[in-house]
Amino acid sequence: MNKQNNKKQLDELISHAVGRENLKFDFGKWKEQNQKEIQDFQVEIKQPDINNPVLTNIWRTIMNNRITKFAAAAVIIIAVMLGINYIGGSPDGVSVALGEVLEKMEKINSYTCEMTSWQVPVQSSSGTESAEKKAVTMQFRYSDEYGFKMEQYTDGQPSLIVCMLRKSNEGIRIWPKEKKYIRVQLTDEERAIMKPQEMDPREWVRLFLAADYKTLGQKVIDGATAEGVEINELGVIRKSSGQSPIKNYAARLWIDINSQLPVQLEEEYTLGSVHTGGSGKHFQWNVVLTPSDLEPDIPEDYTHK
Amino acid sequence: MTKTLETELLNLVLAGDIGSFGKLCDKYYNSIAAIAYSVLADHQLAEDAAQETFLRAFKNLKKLKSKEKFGLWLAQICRNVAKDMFKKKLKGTDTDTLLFLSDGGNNEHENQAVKQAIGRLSSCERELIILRYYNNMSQEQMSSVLGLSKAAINNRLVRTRKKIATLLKNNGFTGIEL
Repeated sequence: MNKQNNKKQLDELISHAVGRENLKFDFGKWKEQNQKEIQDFQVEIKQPDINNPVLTNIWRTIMNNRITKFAAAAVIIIAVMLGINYIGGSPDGVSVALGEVLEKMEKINSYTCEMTSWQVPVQSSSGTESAEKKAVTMQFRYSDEYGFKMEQYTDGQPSLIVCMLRKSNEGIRIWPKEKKYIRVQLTDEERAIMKPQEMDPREWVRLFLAADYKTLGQKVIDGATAEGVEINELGVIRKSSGQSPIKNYAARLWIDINSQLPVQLEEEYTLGSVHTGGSGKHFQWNVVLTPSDLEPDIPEDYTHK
Repeated sequence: MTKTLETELLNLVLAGDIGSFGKLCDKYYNSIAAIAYSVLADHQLAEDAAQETFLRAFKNLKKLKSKEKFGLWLAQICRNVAKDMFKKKLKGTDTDTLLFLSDGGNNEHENQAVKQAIGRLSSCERELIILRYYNNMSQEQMSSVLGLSKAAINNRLVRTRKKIATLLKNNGFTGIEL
């Protein structure tokens, strides 16, 4: 018997003697068995730790991941939304409202919204030189079950479409102007990144609950009376890095006082000579979405990149 | 799962997302159960030890200083848990080898001979072999809990396999020479 066969035989003998196949961890059962410990843990970590750069790290993970390079625009949206929602409460009246919002958000499994990100030179940020403002608008549809679709518009024209389809495990990116598209299978890691935990709107409110904020009073948004909270502290959502520190930071969450659901999210700051920001608005929570709502329509004359 | 993603998951757990801890458990369950099995030589006990390991890790997560070493930290907790469990069952015995030197519950001659050979390895060698063969683990997975390079793991595996082959031969097992 040659050496290779001997090795194979030994491998089989050892595997047979000590091997264990199909071993799966039942996390649900583990949670059930350790409810008290989990509760204790959650109480312990409720103490705000603003030095814990959770969002910054999520952002970095997303940016380092192939899926992000593939779907950069969509990720920007996610990051903006995550960022805005990492704002949280202190023990006054509004924190109670945020707690109720969180409870409501637990039941959210799909939504649509419009997001805008913009940049403007600092010298004109408080003036009227709006012509210099560069803005991109995105329509976003998200479903826990099916994935998401983002349609980006520049100057009113579709400039990018990004879809992540959970059922078929695909990522699709389309450039309408160039008539090009890419369709790729997602790796396990990419799929993990895109799981609801990282995009879950409930997480946004939890983040608001975990930071100090000031109340902004009430204003009417899209016909609904909303109550706002704002944080200005760096390190909760974003932190300065590199040679250009972030200045004039503000992130705001507006909650419809009737529905107790977020109605608008905003974030803005100055980085170097540019004032930049983003917002999420026109939310529709728990909207019915079907797989076809998220699938792209790729015209026949488009070519694969 | 990359180290970066793992660190992010740990950050999410520390921010209150318990589900992220589940992802980490999924990743490490086989490795941790294998390490426990290398001490306990009992599948059921090893799985219990893995559950207890995750609980101890969860409760002490805030104390973890180097998140990129989560796998190594978890493995060390597991070794302690498994040894504690073994000591409780068999007070005053050699926790390293006893169960592997026994039948271990399987009456097949070959399995018994292999288990006995594994039982005569050092605890490090035994852990390495069990990790490799417990659930056909890749060297990359092994690396995350052993803190060794893939090359080092490969070299050690080659040496340990040879040792097992020699032990089997000395025990009257024919047909295997590496």
